[in-house]
Amino acid sequence: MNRRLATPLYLLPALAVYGLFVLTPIAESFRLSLFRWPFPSAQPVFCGLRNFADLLRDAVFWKACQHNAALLLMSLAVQLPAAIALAVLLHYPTRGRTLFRTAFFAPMVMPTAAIAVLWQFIYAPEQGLLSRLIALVRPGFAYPWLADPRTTLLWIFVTICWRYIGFHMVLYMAALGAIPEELYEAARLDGAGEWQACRYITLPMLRPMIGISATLSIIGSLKYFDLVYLMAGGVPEESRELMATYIYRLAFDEYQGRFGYGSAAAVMLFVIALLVIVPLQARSRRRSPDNPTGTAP
Amino acid sequence: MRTLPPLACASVAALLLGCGKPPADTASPKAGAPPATITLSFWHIMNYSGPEEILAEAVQRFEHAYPDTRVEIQAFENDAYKTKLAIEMASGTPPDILFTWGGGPLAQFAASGHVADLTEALSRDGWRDRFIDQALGICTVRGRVFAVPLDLSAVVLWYNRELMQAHGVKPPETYDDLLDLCGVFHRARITPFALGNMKQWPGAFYFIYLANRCGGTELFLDAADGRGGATFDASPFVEAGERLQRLVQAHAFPVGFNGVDVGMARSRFLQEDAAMYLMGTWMVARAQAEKADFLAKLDCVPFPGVPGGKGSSRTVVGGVNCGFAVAGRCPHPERAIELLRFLTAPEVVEAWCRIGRIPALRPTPEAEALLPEPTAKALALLKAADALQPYYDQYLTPRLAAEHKKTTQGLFAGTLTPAEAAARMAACAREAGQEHPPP
Repeated sequence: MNRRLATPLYLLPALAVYGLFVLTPIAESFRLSLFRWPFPSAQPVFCGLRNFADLLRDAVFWKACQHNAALLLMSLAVQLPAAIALAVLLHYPTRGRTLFRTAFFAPMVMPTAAIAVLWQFIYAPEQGLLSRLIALVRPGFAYPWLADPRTTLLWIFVTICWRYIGFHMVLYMAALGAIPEELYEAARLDGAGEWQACRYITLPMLRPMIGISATLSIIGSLKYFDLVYLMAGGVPEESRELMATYIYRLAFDEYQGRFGYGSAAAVMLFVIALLVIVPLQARSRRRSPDNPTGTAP
Repeated sequence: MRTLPPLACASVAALLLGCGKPPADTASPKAGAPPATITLSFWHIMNYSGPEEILAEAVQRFEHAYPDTRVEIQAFENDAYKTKLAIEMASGTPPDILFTWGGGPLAQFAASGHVADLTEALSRDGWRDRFIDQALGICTVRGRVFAVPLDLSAVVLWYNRELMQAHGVKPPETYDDLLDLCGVFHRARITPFALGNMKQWPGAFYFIYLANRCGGTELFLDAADGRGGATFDASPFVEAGERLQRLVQAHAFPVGFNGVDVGMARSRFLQEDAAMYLMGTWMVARAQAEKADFLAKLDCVPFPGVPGGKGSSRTVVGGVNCGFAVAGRCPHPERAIELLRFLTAPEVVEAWCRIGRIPALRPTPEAEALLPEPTAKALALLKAADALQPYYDQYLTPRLAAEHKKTTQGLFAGTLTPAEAAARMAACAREAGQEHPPP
């Protein structure tokens, strides 16, 4: 068969599955977002863009957007540098390297629900690990880690960082392994020190991987859900929701079943994610044709 | 080779079903029995040892009596069930027999014809007369019954008798006693009340009781049903918020209780780090399983009244914690109702008492004697009650219920003033009243 016809033909089944399970629900969300559907057993009523107008006035939704932005910045500012530092350190042939690598990666393979329970114990106000450690220097110390509206999300973000640093670290370790040893030899011949080699060889050679890991981080923080949903029940909704957790709570949780309004929020999340990710993708594509690695010439 | 594909399919199906936990007795058809021609699906949330077996045995007896009928039981986790049921109802694929708490959600299903009217069936064979009226009332919408209750639970103020005696104090009789006790136990480095409010309903009990003592049960019912101009920002609701915050200021609760799970709160009470615990009667069954010798120290009193309050301090907060309804779409309603008769049969009622839970049907004196002592005491309070104050989150429509739990958590956290919380409830009720027909 003609190759030009065969390839699309072979791709069709995948497209059908993708269309059925991804595109159809997205289209359905768009349709539902135009309906007023206050509770599950009610009859949905077409209401145009009223859900979106309500959403723009919804203080909790705007707070949720801010929390996503904070998570995004924190991921980029904390997770990526920490992951690079760990990867560089573990790249040296140190004693117990495998042990360290496994330990740092372990949170990534733990089930999220187990992590949530584990950290709820760590963050227990009086008997938790953290409070007890601090109580060693300040007797009688107790703090509502997961019940202080001002700081709870911050502590959950710490858990999120703890979980994902190992994942990014593995990405960087793979990239480090791909840097040709000759570059370092040449640098040493030219009299470069350890720090200079790191600054002028390692970091530039890591740049494409930094791009990939940053993109993953950004997408991940925009749609983040699980640990916040599981751990932030102790504070009022305006201090706890991310966009995704708010959508879930509107549409499904606590018997609310506001499918129309929840779908409108989901459409907003879709648009915001698109606005952030399309420029990023465009940038990486601009880089690719003549300079595939994206590194400095 | 020809037999392989069906086999493979069967094993895949078995894998998929693995999470649904089908009961062993329905997995293979009984030898000699005619093939089942009717299949009924039955969903409940009694997914823990005790109630789960009791329901399974009742279903077995039903299947024995009706060999042509097969019942597929699925037991869910509490919160997951609410989500699942809401979605299945909306998409028109509910189970034939469904678990319900009665109240607002059931009224919503009834209004849209999603659950069957059981009034006629109940009038036959004196079935109706076996139920405790208050429990059946929670399953009744505009005079028609849409569910049969099995479990009746009451929230009472549990206390540790030994801790009280050791500190030379008596269980509280008034709101001021509560504040005094907070001082005594706080100074003794014992938490006055165990509370884990992460899921928001454990803390809600305090608000429900305080509002009840300040304004009475009628005020709540009027505000909920939009009668007589009563609203949720009436002064007793504001006063309840104030009194709740005064308890918080008196160190009534452990540090960070809003972020702590209910299980951790129960273990604090069972480990005797806390003197009192406002919780439902189902707690006794859990305590019996986790620390049986604690039952000897466990006692209860009614929640105290407030000075000048309109509510009686004999009113008990409670409700149906296990009831069954038949879906409006069920193709075999008569058979499904027959299953409900088996699920509320005298054997089930007796077994319910034996595991320490209060049945919603009048038990025989012998069955009642099986109740553990603390449950029997709570039942005495329930019997002496002049009214039953429903749980807000089971009586109100789902959205208003969620608002109630959120605003109460805000009161506990101090992020909302009592007036703000009351205003938010009233506004939400006004909005919801436009969207929902009043039940």
